[in-house]
Amino acid sequence: MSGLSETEADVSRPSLFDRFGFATAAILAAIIVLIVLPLVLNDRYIGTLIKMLAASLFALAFNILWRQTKLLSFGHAAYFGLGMFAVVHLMRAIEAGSISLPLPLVPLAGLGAGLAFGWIAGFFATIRTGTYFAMVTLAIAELIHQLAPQWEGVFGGEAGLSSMRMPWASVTFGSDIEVYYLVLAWFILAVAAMYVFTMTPLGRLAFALGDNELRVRFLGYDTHALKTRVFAVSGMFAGLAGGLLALANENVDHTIFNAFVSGSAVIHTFVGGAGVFLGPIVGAFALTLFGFVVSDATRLWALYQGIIFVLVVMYAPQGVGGAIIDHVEPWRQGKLRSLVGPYLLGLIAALTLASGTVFLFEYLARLFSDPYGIQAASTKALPVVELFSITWPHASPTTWMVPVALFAVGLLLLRTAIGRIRKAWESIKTSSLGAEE
Amino acid sequence: MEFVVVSLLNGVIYGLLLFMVSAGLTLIFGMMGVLNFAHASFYMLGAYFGYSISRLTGFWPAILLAPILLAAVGAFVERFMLRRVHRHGHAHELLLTFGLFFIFEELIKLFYGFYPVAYAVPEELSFTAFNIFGLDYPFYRLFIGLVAVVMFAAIYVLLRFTRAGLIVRAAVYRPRMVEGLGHNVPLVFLGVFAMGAAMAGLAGTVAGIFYPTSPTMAQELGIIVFVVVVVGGLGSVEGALVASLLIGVFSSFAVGLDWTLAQALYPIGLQGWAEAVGGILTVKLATVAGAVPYFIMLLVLLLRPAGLLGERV
Repeated sequence: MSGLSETEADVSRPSLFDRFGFATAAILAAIIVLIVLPLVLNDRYIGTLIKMLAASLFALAFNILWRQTKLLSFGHAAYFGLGMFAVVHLMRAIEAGSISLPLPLVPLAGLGAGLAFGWIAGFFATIRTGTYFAMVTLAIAELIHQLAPQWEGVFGGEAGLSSMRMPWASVTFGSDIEVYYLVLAWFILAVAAMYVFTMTPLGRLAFALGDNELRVRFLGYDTHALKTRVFAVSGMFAGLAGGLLALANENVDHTIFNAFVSGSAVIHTFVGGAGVFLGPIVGAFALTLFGFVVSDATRLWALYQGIIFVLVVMYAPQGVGGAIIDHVEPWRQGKLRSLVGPYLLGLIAALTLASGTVFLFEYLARLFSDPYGIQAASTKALPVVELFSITWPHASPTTWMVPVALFAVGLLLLRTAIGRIRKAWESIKTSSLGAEE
Repeated sequence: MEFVVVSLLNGVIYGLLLFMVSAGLTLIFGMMGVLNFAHASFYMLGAYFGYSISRLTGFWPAILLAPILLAAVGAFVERFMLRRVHRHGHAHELLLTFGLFFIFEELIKLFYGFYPVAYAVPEELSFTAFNIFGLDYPFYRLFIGLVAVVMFAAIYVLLRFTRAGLIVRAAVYRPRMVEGLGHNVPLVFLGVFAMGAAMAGLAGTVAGIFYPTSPTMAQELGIIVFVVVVVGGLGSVEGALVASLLIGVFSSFAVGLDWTLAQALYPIGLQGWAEAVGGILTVKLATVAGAVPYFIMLLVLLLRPAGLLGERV
């Protein structure tokens, strides 16, 4: 009996401190990792870390509009890119000596450009909702994308613009690690600011707009003005994200306005979990790292990223962040143990299927590559394919058995795993229901 | 005169090509409320399928088989992918097609490489249609236009004068009501999606020969097709035809015109001032031709979101 009352107390009163404490601890740990990581990493990775931070901020900025106001923007590259150009212009002015400003404050130019342009674009875009809103943002971004290469004075033509970081105080900002810590400081500040924004009156109203715009209007608010402001805030943080990347890269060209850049914010956000505040960071980190690691190994990495994105959209619409949130409550109740076995099985199944898929695509990629075609044409035969340092003769049944076996075993394991996971979850849900009674 | 006639001819044919791709897109949007980002990918797949099949069997079977294959691809995407995410809302449907766009492009790169393939005009169609101002006008261009016209006539008849067309039009207008009357609306969705994919595929099979068949062809056409669909009015096939022709003719003329904003200010006596200011005011129309369709799209979205011929917003 005593055991039961204990769980009862745990479940009925999940104290705010408890929950808050968990999140705080996790965030503090993440910040410490981000501070320590560059000290132990090779310089090559620091550039990637900076890209991750910028991509995270960009995705978070995009998600202000989506998570709160339910407006899906397909043109956020415009504000990101303008932020980059603003920062490079400012850096050039500082370099020429016409303006003097400490380097750590330079990203403010990106923030300002994003805010100003976000305000203007937002005024027009938020006249519409739903698909029409997405189309307006797409049209604005594409307009800039098309005009930028023609407008050489501002966007530097085909070659783009570049500049140099000027030293400030006793810091030269010549090495990547110094830039990294500057970007990290801005990153933490901006994420905190975005979180605080969700709790401001405008931030709360933004949520209300997403839930039911009509009711907000009935309460007497000018919803168009509200949405314009939310859009401007989103554009501002996107501009800051671009500004930080420009600070690190020291150059920018018009290709930054490409629709794929807008798309990257969307993909990062939804893979990471659009419904969770920190979800976009998870997505941006995971996919940027994925691109960095996998693009070294195979030129098919974009295909794998596309497959991952589609699988997440189809089978985990809440994203990685949403999946984590689902586990917090059972974890606090100590009920996750029953899930460990089924999850391990699921992991093995997923890895088996993934290796089958990778084998198939890599094999096909070798088979259809230009060098192979030339070789086949010159020898008038089909040469063997070398993959994972093993040669695979085409006619040999083992070559085809490998992927077939991987798929068969993987699917079988997956079916079992899904059944067990479902069962374990059901028992978790029923037991917590019982506890509530 | 020569410039006007040739530009008009090229523009109309480019416009008809745009129409072949956008007709399916606008129907799908009208019916399911989904802007299909992968629609231009169907066009690209059509070109590559056409290329591969025509190497095996010649051009004529390819022009028939490639659209059929695309219909199968479209049906698969609708039945096993889109329908799955439907309950998560329009945003997720949009995202799914967005992801598919990437996958299709990467798959094409995997099988065919990064560079355009040599998809050549079939011999029996490779002749001069007529001679205009000393210029030999290739028959194949006219053939692209002809295919589009035949296709438009076919879907017009299908939609206006058949029972299936009646149900489709009703389902575009009021899907719930049509379902309530006992029609299998999911099946209608599937059919329209497959048809739309087949039409885009046909466009690719025919046009891939003229405009290079390369992995970037979906990107190049993708957003301009959105422009057409928006300007014509989302859901309106006739609107898509008018908008396609407008945009096609405009694009074809714009590349040859060196008008500037400064010249437009001549009537109010500001041309000299504008030319002195320079910058965006003296940029020639030809150089910003690519941006104008997006400007028009923006204007339409803001001023008349129903488009030229659309009925609903």
